[in-house]
Amino acid sequence: MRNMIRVLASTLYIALIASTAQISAVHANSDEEVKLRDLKYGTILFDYYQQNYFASLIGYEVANSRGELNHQIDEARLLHGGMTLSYGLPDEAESIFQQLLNAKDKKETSEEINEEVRNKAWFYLAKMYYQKGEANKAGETLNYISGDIPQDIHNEYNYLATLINIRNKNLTSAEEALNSVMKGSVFEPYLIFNLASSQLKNGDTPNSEVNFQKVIDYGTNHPEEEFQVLADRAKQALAHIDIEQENLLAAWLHLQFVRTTGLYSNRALLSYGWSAIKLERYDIAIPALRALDRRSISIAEVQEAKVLLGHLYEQQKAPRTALKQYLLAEKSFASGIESIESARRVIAGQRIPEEFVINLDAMMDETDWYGSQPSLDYNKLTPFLIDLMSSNSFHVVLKELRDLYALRENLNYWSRQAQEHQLIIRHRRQGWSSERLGSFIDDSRIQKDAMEVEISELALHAKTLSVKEQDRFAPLLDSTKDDFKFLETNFTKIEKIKKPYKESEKTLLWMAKLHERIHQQLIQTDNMIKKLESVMRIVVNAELDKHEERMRYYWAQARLGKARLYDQTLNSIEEDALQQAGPQ
Amino acid sequence: MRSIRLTSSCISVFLSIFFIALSASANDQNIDFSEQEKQQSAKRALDSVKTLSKEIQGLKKSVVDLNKDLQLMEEELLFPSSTQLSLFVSLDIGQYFTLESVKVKLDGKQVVTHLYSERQRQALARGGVQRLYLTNLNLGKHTIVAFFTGIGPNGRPYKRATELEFQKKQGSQYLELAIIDDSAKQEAKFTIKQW
Repeated sequence: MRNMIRVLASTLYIALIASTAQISAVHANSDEEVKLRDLKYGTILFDYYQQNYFASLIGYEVANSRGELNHQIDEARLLHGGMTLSYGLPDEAESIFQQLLNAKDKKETSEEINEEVRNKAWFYLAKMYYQKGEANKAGETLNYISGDIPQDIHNEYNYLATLINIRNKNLTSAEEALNSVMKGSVFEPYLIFNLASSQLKNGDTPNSEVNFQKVIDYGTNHPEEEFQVLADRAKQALAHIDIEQENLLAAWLHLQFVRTTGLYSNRALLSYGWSAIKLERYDIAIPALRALDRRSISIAEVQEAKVLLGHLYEQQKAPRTALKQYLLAEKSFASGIESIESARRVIAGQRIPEEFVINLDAMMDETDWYGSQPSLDYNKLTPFLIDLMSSNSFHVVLKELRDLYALRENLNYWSRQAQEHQLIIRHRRQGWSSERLGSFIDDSRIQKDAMEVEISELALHAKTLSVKEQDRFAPLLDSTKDDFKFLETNFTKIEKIKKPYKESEKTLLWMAKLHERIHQQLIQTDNMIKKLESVMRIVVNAELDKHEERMRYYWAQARLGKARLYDQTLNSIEEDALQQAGPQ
Repeated sequence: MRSIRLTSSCISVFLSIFFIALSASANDQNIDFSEQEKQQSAKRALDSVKTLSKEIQGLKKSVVDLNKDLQLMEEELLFPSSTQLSLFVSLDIGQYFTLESVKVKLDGKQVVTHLYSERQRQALARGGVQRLYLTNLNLGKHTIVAFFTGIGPNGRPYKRATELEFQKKQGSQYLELAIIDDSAKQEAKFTIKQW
């Protein structure tokens, strides 16, 4: 269900499309390989290319503090900005890019920053402003780019420029770009979709319809899932335009071609059902609503479809089927309310937000939100959070929480390491003293002298042996002499040690301060996590409230339907009885 | 008769309510399905995240700084520059060889092995360099042997080894296990480079 992520992402409109492209920042093009001149720079890239932004940032800071990035200083600073931005520190990234660009203007550096680095810095800065929602500032920043646009950001540059034009309502420029530089780009259908949405917003319905149709045509020629999802959305948009214009038949025709699977299929099936009902084609509406009826009760469209189906059966003069539908709907709503209660218990659990946030991707990959029953506790939550997850602000909460959990894990690791540091220091302190070292050297010297005498005696003794015996003895003697020489060399080294190694007071003090910082930052992180978890619980509970109220509303509708049918039955029995009693 | 009239009126009321409800629910976004107060409180909670985000940015920055200092301190404590030896792996293009694993023997003893993921291979191919091993080593002569396994030209399993005798001198020493495409021979070349 990797597609699910893509589907959800696409609901966040263009802002998120832009941020997913952020991953390819700085060194996007694998064709243009970075010539390796600095090993340390290469190790930063190794983490960066794997999207381990935290590790790559630390690698940069370590290498920079040691002055190990001498050869590729500007590229490294640009990369630093990219990593910082990707790690979720936009303010810091802004200041890095600004510093990089200002350094050239103020001539703080002896060498002028090359055009490529400068243009890239402007580009990333513009992109950052755009992601912050400052489209005008982004446009102004992009205008600073001069000369050739670096090849590896060329496509992204055009994409960003078009997005900014759409956001700033320069729709003619955006259209021009779409007909020239963006033609054939992977971003093309997204841009057309966004352009169409902006045109619709501005009241230019005819052009908007043309562009939505282009997105649908693109999907016809590109079978990839993401383009199919986009095409589904375009079809629904066209259907809604037609509904607004009271052209139900046209709307119904558009909805016919929306796929019956995927996130947008629920809304499409319901709209299809409603259009058919309004056209009085009940026989066509029923299959669409029955398809919805089989899906999870947590989906709002499914809840509505359950009641609507009952109503349709009534319209078709099938009271028994209608009654059965209402009874089954009641049962489903009761189980739905139970599921909500269970989801509430899950979110109230101590460790659940952490597990939920950390395993979010895995859950989205594995869980079929429409059909299957969740197997894990925290999976009970996901069906109710589909809408919430497509909201940008909730995504921010999840992302920040995930980062905070990672920070806590990192600090916990260092807390364990701190204990090991102290153990090492304790052992070193308990090790050699000057006196012990002195007495070891004295003892060793005596042993060495004794060995030397013994080896000389052995050599003399060997000379007294027969030639044949001497030949046999010689290699053994040579080997012993080699061993002794090795021992003597090492002894000389130890003899030169005036006093044993002792950790400097400065290092010990530094270590103590660092250990204290770990402790302090761990407290800060825990506090932040508590605050964000509380926000998450409030927001999730509010969402569950919304679900519960909606479900109770439709449940009441189902009860009303059931009561009405019982009432009608009673009524007809009474009428029959009266009719039978009348002639008597 | 009275009961019949009541029932009929009930039906008409129910039906009208039902139809109103159904037509309204054609777009259930029009219905406020939750108490406004609760939704407002959720909105306020989400808004508070903006303020928290600033604080989180500050915290992230501090933790990065702390990690930098801790790494510097730990290296000084465990791997003093006088005895330090770092081993790196690099890949130049990688057209003729898909790296699967590396095994290293230092002075006849196996010291490190590593199995590569696709992500790591991509990172190497794009110019990344992996720090494979960090250790302390005595001054003097040493021998290092690196064994590379992977897929060679024509998709065949490929195993190569390379050896270097080197002198550990004062100060940190860096060795790079480099896999370089040799376009003349249409195969990969494996070398150990001293920095």
